[in-house]
Amino acid sequence: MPTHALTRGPGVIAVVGLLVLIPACNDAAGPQLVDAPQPQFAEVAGAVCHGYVEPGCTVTFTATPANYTCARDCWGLPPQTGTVTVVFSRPVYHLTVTGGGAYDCSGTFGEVTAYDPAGQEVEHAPLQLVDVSNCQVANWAGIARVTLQYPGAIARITISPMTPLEWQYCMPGGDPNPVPGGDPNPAPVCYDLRALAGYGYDFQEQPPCPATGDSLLDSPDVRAGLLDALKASHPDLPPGSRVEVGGLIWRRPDGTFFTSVVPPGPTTTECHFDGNYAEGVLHPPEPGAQAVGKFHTHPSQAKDPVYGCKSQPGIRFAQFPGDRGLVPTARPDENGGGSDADWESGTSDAFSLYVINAAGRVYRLDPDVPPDRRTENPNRWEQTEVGAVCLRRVP
Amino acid sequence: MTITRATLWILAAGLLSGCLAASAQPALAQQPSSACGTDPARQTQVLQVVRGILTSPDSEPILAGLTPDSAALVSDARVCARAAQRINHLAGENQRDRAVYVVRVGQVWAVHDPTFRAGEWSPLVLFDSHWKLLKTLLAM
Repeated sequence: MPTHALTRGPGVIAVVGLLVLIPACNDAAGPQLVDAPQPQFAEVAGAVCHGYVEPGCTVTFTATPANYTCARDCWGLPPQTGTVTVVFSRPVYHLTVTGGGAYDCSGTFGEVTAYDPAGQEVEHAPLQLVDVSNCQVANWAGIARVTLQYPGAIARITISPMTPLEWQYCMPGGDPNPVPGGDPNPAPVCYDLRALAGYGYDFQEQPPCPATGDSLLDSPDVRAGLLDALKASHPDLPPGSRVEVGGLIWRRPDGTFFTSVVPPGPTTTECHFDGNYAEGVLHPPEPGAQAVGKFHTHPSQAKDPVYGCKSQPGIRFAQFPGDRGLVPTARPDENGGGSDADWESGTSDAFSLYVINAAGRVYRLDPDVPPDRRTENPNRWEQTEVGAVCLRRVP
Repeated sequence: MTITRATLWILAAGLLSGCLAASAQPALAQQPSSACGTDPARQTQVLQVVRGILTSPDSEPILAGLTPDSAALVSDARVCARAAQRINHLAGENQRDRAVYVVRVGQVWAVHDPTFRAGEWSPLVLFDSHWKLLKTLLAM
């Protein structure tokens, strides 16, 4: 019985077709083996974790029976005859199940039933063949997959077996290694095939973020860019040690978004961002990228003292703790999340300005909003939990 | 005619008020018109910001116990003149045409001058009833 070890690379689930060939009863030449197909690799977009401990992943699983798992090693999988039950050590999200083995193209490929932590069935979906090209040649295929649509937590799944479990495959040209001088028109050589599958899992350990209602904030890269900027502002440090960080939001030609930081300028402090957005817009970090928004941070919590405010000719604001001068107090959530200068900067260049403050609240300041409509800014979001990368709109 | 003690008190009070009026008059006369800002959008904005602070979970302790209803826009020219004078003092300037927006919250004056800047912010400045500076809030 030919078997193949699975190989894998980072972030790649490897599945291999395992073909069990049993000589058919009409095969007088005795048992014959056909080389098992080469390993096939299926890269699953967006997959984060696979059920074993690796960087950033801690959820494991227990499968019953245990030997239908291709998460790591897939030696000697037996034919699947019954349902496989997989229990995750913690609930997972956005689950994809990939079966690698041998499927009769004209059969069914098994079904996945998912259960939430309360044990309620939340989804039932069939696996589908990923690549049917081999079906034309040999009437079997090596990979079947299903991505569950249920957005919530999944604690357990069951995988029912494919059908048929055995079928016959006949090579129309006869023996691929004919005996010299043998029959020039040999009868087809047929094999009994037995279905097999080893299963791999791709999932996220954190819940997927809900839609924000803002096309830019729906981008994980934009949200991560805002959080990175906030982190670089050091809101966790004492007043006087923080700094505003700003940047631009870009759209690639393929429609995806990313952020870049704008150099802060010489007078940037925790009271003021002095970066030159207009200059930044002229220099896309990637070819073809187009600036579509800008952002900066407000690193002070409400009621914190703020240092480093640019002084006017006759007034001196304290530039650091202990400095003589007026020490103003932060109120970052008033006025719709931005200073009047923030609001006016959007009006001057027609870019919306995203402000993320030390409490993790994000505000979108649109151009041309008059002063009396700023406090009621409807474009505000908060983190779904402290430090989370997900945002939800504040009603 | 007998001048009673009560009459003296009345005369004294009259003289005193006359002196006060005389001393206040020049200060008010320096303002070419009312120092109260007249932009309706700004008036609404300042009032909303003050009321937002009053309802915020992070409300200012010096405004503790005050409700949004207690905040009211001030249109008294004398109050605005005094507020403008205090902002001038804070800014170290003698800007005669300063237009300020004043909201009275209990015993506190909340004053906003859009041209008075602290970094990127246009502060909301809180004074007590004697026009002593209480706080400068980076709220706008």
